[in-house]
Amino acid sequence: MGCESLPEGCIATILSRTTPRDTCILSLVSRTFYSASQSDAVWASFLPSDYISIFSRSVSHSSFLASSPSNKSIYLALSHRPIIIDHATMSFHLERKSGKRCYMLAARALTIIWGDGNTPHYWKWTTLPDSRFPEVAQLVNVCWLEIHGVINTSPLTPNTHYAAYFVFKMIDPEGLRYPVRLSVDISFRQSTVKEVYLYPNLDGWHVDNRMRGLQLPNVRSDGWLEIEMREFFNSGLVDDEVHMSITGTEGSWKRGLVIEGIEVRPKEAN
Amino acid sequence: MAKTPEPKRTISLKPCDGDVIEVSPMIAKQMQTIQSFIEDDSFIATTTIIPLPNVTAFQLSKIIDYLNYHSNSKAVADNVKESTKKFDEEFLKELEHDKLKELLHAANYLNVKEVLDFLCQAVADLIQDKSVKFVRKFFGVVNDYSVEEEEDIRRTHAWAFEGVEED
Repeated sequence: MGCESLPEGCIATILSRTTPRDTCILSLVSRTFYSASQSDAVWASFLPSDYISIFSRSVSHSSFLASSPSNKSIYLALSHRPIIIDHATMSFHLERKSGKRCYMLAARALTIIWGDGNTPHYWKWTTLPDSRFPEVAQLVNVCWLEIHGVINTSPLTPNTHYAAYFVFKMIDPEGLRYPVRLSVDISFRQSTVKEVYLYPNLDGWHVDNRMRGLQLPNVRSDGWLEIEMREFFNSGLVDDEVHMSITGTEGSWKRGLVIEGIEVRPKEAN
Repeated sequence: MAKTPEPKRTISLKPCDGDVIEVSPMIAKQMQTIQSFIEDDSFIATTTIIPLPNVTAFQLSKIIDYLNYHSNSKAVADNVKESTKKFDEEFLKELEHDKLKELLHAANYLNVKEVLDFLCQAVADLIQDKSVKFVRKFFGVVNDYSVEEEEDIRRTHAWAFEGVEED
């Protein structure tokens, strides 16, 4: 019984209920699995339903679909590197292994106090070769550091644990040896506030009680620093507004912080 | 008002290893393979027994159980959803891997979409995060790749194999 092998269509249906990563790994099972693993039907289930509109919101990829690529190629394009959309105020990509949706709000999409471009002696807009965006915000000199960003949860993948990350770097920093406050509000219902350091390590610092145990940023694979602001669960049932802010008002003049943006991506399952 | 006696309204299915099982047209309709029998002009519901040489009595009755339960519980109320979930869990719990796989074959042969979808999801849950070796064994599939071809697939999908232990 059951010696005959399953037809390819059936294998494709099974693969489409796994993940992109499983599908690629299981293409190694046999030639029939490989053939099923390449099918448009399987990859259609991993593509976001609005991928056509995402391409149309991008300048660099606006004609990507013109050559009628396979669904797998579309998936790989969306997960290869972030696609810059909405007049370079946001980036979009799929986390390659799971197909879950990731967004980054560019510095241009954030509200930066004293950073509206009218006071370049406080904040200036500049270009960095390792930024995904055409512009980043560089802190020239302020006492009052305050940044806000808002993202809606409806474009995120449902049933997924997400986290928001502040993405930045330090270029000749000064005056930033004080903790900054990260606060996240979800539709003004659940708010969290925490103090963190924006310095990646405190080597050579005098560590007092208040500084001990504060969260520090990590270095990302793209060379930027990031610090987790908060994690949250997106059920997909309600469209929440996630309000995020970074505030540093201790000490006096601060300089040298460069802002890439705020990224919202799935929190890795441990 | 007196009812006129209804003609026989069930469809007779004969599995490969047991007695004829009668199913309602509602249920039979969901089996595409049976449906094409019924649509055939020479089909006479009263006398024709449809032979199913690829399906055992056990598999056929499981599939009928599933369809019966689900056609009776289409409501969306939470308590119904809850009991449907329970039914589905129990349904799978009674199936060992081999039985599940064979049932999938049977559902595929009979082409019953609802059961097929359900079983494909169950199998997908089972093989997710599993090794190639496990899945080969599960499906009884032999590796038909050359070493070079295997290497090639690993190379082109290197991102998927990151952190995966070799079998």
